[in-house]
Amino acid sequence: MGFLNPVNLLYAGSIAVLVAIYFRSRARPTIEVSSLMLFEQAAAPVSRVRTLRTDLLFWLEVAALALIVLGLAGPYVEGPPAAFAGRSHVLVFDLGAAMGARQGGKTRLDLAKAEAVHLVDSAPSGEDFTVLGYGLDAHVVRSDLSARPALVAAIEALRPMAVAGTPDALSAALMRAQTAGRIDVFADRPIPSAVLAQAALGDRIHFHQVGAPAGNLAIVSLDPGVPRVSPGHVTVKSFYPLTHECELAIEADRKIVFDRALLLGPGEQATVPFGPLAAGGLVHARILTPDPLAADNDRWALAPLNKADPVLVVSPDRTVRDDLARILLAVNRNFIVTAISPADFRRSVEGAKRYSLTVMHDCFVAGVKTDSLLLVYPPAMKPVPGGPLAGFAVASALKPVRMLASGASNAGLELDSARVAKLPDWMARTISGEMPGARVTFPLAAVGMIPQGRFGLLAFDVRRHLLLDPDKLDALVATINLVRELTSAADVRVVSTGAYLDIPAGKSARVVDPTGHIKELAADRWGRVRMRPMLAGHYTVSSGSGAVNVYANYYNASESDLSARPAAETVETAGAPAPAPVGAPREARPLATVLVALALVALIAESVVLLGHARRWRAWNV
Amino acid sequence: MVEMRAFEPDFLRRLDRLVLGIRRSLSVRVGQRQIGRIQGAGIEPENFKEYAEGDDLRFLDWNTYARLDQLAIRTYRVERQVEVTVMIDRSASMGLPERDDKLGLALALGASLAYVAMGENDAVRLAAFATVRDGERLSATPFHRRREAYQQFKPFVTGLKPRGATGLFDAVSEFMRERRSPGVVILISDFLVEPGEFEDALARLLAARHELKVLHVMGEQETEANYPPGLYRIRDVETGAMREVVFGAELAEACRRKVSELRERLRDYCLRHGIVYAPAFGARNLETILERELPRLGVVR
Repeated sequence: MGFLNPVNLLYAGSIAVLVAIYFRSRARPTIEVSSLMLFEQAAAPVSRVRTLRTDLLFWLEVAALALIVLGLAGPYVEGPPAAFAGRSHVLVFDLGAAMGARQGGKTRLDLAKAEAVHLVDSAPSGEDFTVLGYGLDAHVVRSDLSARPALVAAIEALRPMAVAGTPDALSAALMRAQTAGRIDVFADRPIPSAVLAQAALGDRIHFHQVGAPAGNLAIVSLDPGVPRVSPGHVTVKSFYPLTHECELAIEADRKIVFDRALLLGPGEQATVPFGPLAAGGLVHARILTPDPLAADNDRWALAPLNKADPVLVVSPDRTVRDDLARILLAVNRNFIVTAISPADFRRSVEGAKRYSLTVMHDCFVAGVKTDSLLLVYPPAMKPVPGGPLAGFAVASALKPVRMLASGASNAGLELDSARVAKLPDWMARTISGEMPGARVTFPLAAVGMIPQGRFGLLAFDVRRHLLLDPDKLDALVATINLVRELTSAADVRVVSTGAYLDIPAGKSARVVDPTGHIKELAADRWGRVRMRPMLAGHYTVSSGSGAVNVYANYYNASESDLSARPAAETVETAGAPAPAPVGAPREARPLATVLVALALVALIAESVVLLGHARRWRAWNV
Repeated sequence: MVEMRAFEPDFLRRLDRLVLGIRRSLSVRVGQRQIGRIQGAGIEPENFKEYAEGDDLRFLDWNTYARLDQLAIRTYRVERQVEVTVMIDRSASMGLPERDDKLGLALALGASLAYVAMGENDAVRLAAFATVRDGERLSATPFHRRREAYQQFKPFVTGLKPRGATGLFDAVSEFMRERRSPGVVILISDFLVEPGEFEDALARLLAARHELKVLHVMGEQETEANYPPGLYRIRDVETGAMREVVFGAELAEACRRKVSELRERLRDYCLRHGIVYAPAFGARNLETILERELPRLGVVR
């Protein structure tokens, strides 16, 4: 028993007003007379002390008023959710990486699924169920299912993803469930109070927290270093509450190059050097110590190959050429960088060679043979009618501009100037910019990969040693990431889980995910397939143009921490009832309707009594 | 608003045939020298008397002296112009019960009797009495003799509101201080005063040789004690005294008995002292009282 709006009980003061009116009406009326002499012979009244007269009208009015006040306070009683037949019912599952944590041979998602199936079994027939899942995004797994086998099959088909379950995705899922009569959320950590408050689902939402707090080991990052030059580094973190052993192994070229057992303190994060590696290529770090969550126990990285790739840097500004050359060599010291001014470009010399990467700053030189092209602060260009840059155009420059968030570290950077480019559809904007005070954004960095080659864009100017300015590291990071992406091996890709990936594929591609599931993807009109690895591990993308190996890395500091407290210990969310305990779903049943109905009955009864009085008084117009 | 009836032409026309019943003629023997009290020469011979020293020789009956050789003075019966004072109780008790409109009835009766008296060219005035906080006990209009001046009573009549205590004896004392010649005093009141007060007041007027007519005004609700049944707190409008009563048949009977006692006591006193007593109960009975009761009781003829 409780009240949804207990503040409305203040209206009970109106009952006091009614009682005051009652007592006022009971007060003996005073009549002025011409003289008391006329009443001398009247006997003094015998006072009769009665606290309350039996006045049926009064009691009926008090009852009606009390019932209405109680109804306004929104009383409810809690009970088992037996009577929600005919309503829609939404099951929301957290599909974040932590739901894949195993305890006692079962994942947290397995526990959630079992609980959901039990809930489905206890529901009356005819109940419509919708199954939603959320990780980085919210998505509908199945909607409006009333057939139990199909519903159970849909629940059983749920798999945890190697991504973090974000509050935004949960909000989106709850928004989709707004019209449902009951929403059951299955997650391994409490729903953030802000999400609950925003959803404003009242007592329709029921939370089921699954899994017990647990420790975990995770690989945070892996830097392969430069083969034969500099060592690599791997960072591991322990989420155990006590000191815990962590056996770490690193493989390169299918050989274990590093194997060490570490002792990590509670919550300790350790960076371990290894190498330098003997050769470039794929590097695989893994934690051999068993722990509940496997998704963050493997990490891949690509070490630069020992291949002398020619790179051309063209810029009218000498200092920019020097800065870009330094950065390119920092990314891969095996690059052979040629830096020239566009005025000095000779078609017979520089134009005759083929480059792995060509970087053009504030100029565009046609006819360069290159695998990848990076335009930095490109000059104004009319839309290119055809070729690899079909549809690309550059308009006038803007100054100053601000770099918007595209990751965690590159928000709010002020840049001197940038040029607004019109991107073809096959290019993806990776960083956006805006003019201060303006709401319109434009691309500051973009990349596109099509069978004809790779194309990158940095729309901001890098003059005056912008890329070497320690206060503007975000610009340097954006440049390095773009160079790495443009110069990465064509047949091996290392990405983060949840990131979109374009792979040249001709007409279609066959994707084998880390669990062995095979999926056919059709290529778009630019001959590429777009995939988004949601599981950590090795994907194989096979197409007519060859096979591409994709390695998806997962780590999220919040999601990998499996020590979330049970729901009973969490702070209750304001404006919403406390989450129901796991395994004992309860439902709040409002009583306002019943109370208002009783109040109406009392008022009708009062009218009947009044009518009786009126008939007795022969007053027919009462 | 019953008092407004006293100024309606139709109502006044019905009063034209009435004459104020003055039971004894107020005459003086003109032959006696009374400074300032000579009412004029005689019109109707009344009697003869032997001459005495000091008699006015102008009234010596020379024919008698010639025949009988006796000095005789002829006296005349002279109808003196009577001063009529209509004293109306305007105390707060006259305002209650409101629906009875006792003050309105008293004012209508008083004005009507003044109108009747003016038909004989008597000097008539209206006076209202009550003891109020500002010390006023008696307020009166000037004397008017002709009916053409009757309308000049209207502002006085319509301007009176019930207030203050009755103060009957004080009002009579105030009246007596004027030391006017005996006249007719018509006293209209509910006589809800302390026992003995109205006797003292009436006795004082009688002692001054005024001809008294008493109109006892009461309301119908007052006489019937017709109040809604129940427990009430009653407050004396004049004294502010309060007591609790239970209205009902028993109390109504007690009230009727009390009113009856008051009425009998006043009537007995009037009868014993030659005062015309006329009860006037109920404002809606104005015409009946004026045209039937007052003539029957000799107030008017």
